[in-house]
Amino acid sequence: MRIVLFAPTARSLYSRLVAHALVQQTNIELVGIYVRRLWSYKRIRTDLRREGPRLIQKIYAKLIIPERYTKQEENQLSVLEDERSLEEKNLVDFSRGRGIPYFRVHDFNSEGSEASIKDLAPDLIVFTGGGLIRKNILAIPTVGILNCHSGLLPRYRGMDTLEWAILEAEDALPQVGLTLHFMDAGVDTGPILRHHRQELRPGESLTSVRQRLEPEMVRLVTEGVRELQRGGFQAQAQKSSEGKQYFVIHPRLQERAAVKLQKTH
Amino acid sequence: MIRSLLRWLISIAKGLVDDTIPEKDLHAYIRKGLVDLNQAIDSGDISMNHVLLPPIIRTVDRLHKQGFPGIPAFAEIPATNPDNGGGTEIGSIEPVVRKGAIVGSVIEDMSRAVIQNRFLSEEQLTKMEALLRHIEVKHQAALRFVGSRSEEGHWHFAARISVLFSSIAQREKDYRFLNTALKLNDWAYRYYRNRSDHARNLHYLWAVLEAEALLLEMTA
Repeated sequence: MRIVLFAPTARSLYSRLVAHALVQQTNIELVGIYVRRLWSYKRIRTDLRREGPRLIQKIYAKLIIPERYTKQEENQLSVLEDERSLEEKNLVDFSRGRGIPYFRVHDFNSEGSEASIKDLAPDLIVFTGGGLIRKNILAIPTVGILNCHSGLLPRYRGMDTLEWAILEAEDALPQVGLTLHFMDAGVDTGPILRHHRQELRPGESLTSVRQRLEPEMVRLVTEGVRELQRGGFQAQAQKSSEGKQYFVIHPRLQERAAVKLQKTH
Repeated sequence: MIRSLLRWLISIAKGLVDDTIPEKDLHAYIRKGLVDLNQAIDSGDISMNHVLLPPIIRTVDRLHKQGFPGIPAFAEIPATNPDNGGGTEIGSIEPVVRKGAIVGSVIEDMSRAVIQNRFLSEEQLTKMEALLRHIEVKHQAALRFVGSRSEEGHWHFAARISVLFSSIAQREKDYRFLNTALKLNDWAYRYYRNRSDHARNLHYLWAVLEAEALLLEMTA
């Protein structure tokens, strides 16, 4: 199976772990890695509009002083990084060391990206972040574009699904987890392959729940690719009426969700 | 040293793009707004029959029940709307977003319906969902209105949408509409915070009261 990887940044630990897991598998050929340019006006404008001030914090935490971010709390992706002995600290070195074509692009959906992806003729694109994917790219891979959404689909589409699930839980336990699905032209509306439901622990914070979910994302994507290769998956189409699209949560609602999570159990 | 400098630069950058208003500022605005409103009623600047007074008083009652501190007591004003069409559905409405601009007349119709305590049909809720998505995706750039070009008109409609969204959030138990109402109130705050024309500020005062009451109720 020929696979192309889409990554939001060259240093994304999640993307590096997925790339590393893919090249370990037999009968899988990672034929290209596409990474979005970080310092592009268009990207910063779009991300800033979507994320607001949180984008600044994200840049600070993940890019300017990443070692502080990883050591600040118990970051389980870093644990996975140590376990799997990832040597390269970015996808540039990773691809160079293995002779995998590497593309740094402004936009995954551009005509230039489209032409070069078509040349690579992938069966599958594995998406690990970097914005919406348009129809021209969706149409290229024969199997589809695989994404791991941090929320339980079809109910929770879009952003900050952890907080929304906590707020909406009322007296029940929040429905928290991940969904492996194929991407389509909508936001998290593509056919579902598999779920991972996460149990909440007493006294957990939003950060710790997210950090426990991150390694599961790597596992879910890796297992999903293996299963697709075997032809063992039946994707379930989503009905639009089964869920809602959620947007960036207001900081005051996020605070309420954090307090409610502390009181859960 | 370099990290301290970076941290400082980041905090400045965050301040420049952060349009969230601290809770204490909004609560102070409510207290001052209600004191001013009481005075405006006493002095006759605002009529006792003003159409917004009954819904504002109903919302103030809800805030009292939630233990919101420092709210002044109101004079004897009927707490129900004399033209109440409560319980009935609103008729069909036009699309709420046309060529990327929000249709102000639709917002006015829907807003009137909220004052009269009338229900929204499934079709209207779908249109409100489209308006929600329009605002969440485009943020403040979404606030272009058919039929209003002035800054005052612009923020007046934003306040009316906020009230509408809080009402939908309450009826449908849908936090997403409260989320957008909170954002709209934050964006409009800078325009309204130092304006002393009480009659013109009433819609915004009501918008903030509604969202704050609902936030307390839904997250109690």
